[in-house]
Amino acid sequence: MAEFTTRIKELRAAKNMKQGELADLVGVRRETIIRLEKGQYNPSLKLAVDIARVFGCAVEDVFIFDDVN
Amino acid sequence: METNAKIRTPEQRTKDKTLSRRERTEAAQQLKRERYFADPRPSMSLKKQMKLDAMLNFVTSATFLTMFTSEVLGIHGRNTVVDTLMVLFVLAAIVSIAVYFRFNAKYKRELPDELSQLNTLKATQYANAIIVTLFAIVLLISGAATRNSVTVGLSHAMYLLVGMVFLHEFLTKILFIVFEGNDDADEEEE
Repeated sequence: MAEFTTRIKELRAAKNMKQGELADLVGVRRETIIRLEKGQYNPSLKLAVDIARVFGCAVEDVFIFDDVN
Repeated sequence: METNAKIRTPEQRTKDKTLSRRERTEAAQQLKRERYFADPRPSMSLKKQMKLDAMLNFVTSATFLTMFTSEVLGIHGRNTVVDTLMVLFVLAAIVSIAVYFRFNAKYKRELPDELSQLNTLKATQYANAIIVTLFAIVLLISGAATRNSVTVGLSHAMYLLVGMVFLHEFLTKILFIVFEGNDDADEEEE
């Protein structure tokens, strides 16, 4: 079982970016960004790539899957 | 000028027959987004849209189902409670339609995204199950109450059908709101 976490909040804070601004840049609602930050929503590959591009890093640097087993 | 160009490019791509269907669909989505950002009106969140739609669907459904019940039971015009209810629901439907159009004129509608599409799909599946269960319960009760013989005329069946369609829509919107949860307090103050 893999545990899903993201570094979106941390990367967003570093860029001084609000949730709404990130949401507009990647074409989703603010609610979706909130769910992603809480690790409650597993995004599509396209959304994951779009978010990683906004922060200028690789997908695996933003989305982390920790294998519990 | 820049905004016009942003809208014109995807607009032309949606009509370009040399492109594949997928590319044209993507262009249509981009066109929607550009039009949304170009619209100067304040935005109405998807959850608020659903609340507005749910209100309209509820009163419409209630009106038709009350009409159906009073017609099938043969109490139309003879039962003051049912007749008053029907008048109230019709009035509520008229007010809801006015409110619906007022809000739609004042605000632009927030576009759905992948999470909302997922929640809509989930809400629709739950609503389907609830409607089928409700229908089965109503059939069982009517069967037991009338010794398995219920006669429903075609016009009455139309009331039932329209009422059920709006009830289904109402349930879908309410379930969507439940699945979306309450994330409003999570925006950071900067």
